[in-house]
Amino acid sequence: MENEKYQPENKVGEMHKRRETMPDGKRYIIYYTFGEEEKIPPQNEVKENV
Amino acid sequence: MSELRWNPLLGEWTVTATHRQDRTFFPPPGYCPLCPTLPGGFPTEIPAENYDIVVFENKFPSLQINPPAPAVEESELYPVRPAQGVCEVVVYTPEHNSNLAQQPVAQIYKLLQVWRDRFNDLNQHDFVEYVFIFENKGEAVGVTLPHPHGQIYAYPFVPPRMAQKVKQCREHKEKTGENLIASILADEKKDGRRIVAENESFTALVPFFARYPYELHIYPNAHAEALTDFSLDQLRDLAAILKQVLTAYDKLFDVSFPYIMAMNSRPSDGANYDFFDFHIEFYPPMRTATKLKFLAGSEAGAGMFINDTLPEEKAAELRRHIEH
Repeated sequence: MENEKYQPENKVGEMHKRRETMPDGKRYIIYYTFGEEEKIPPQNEVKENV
Repeated sequence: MSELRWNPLLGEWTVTATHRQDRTFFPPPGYCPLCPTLPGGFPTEIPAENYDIVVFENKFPSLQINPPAPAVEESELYPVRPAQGVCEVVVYTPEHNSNLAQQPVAQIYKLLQVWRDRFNDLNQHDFVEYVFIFENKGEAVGVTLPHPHGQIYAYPFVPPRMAQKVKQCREHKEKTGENLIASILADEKKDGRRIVAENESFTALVPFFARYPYELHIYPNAHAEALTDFSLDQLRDLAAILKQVLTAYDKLFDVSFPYIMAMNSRPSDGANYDFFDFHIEFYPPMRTATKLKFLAGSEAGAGMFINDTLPEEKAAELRRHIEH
């Protein structure tokens, strides 16, 4: 019998990403979430569904 | 100071990046820059109390989108260029005490989608010619932050090792009409001794020509030049086989097995690369449970690797730790 731990995953939802400027004001940071959107309160966001 | 300096002896670029000398080095507990920032706590690189997967620009980059002007003047002998490019950090999970092997297949599948998205984005910069996704794991390969993470370098040229592979693949196609990775895969499947794991879309093997005792490659069973060419079903299969081989690595000596993981994709310069196939390579420094392989005289000085083991035996060892 095959171990479920190693089987391909079929339950992950659609990928979303939110791009923000980091606190140093220079660099970018991108938060990726799957299925449910926005676990993290946005600050300076640019949303994309990909 | 940061710039690209040309090495006329080898015909390749070296990056000088003096600011990297000050990069974070084994921070004390509670001060990991890759952990979430907790209320009232140390402000990490990630200003959020929780996250799934996060990507950000490296604080100590070798290459920068807007690089400073070179600090030295070039000459005919020594061309110099700004160190333009992108260096990103990919944080796999908010769990500090973990590694990629310990992540569920679902998390690895998410990570593959993130890597694919980053390849697609970085590939579109007009100054980028090669997007290199990689992971350094373990102190034995120089890791200074143990939090599970990888990196992406978007280079303004095709780096030498990738250029050599592209050349070999192109020449093989011209000579035989076949893609080199497909030819290697067909040969390995026919022989069978070096296959470690396989599923519908991917095959993991210790190559005939392995340079490290536990070197392992993952090849696609059908043509694909980059992560962006795979369907979601194929990415699911890639996540599953990654979970299998990474778990086997950790079980081998019952340690969190150190490695360098290198994703080999087509270059991003817009040329035709239908003769090239995407693949992943792992270079682990351990040659036994207690001994490391060092890149010494022959490897570092002459560029010729000496493997003290037989790939057929090492593949059998790894295969014994593969769970299905």
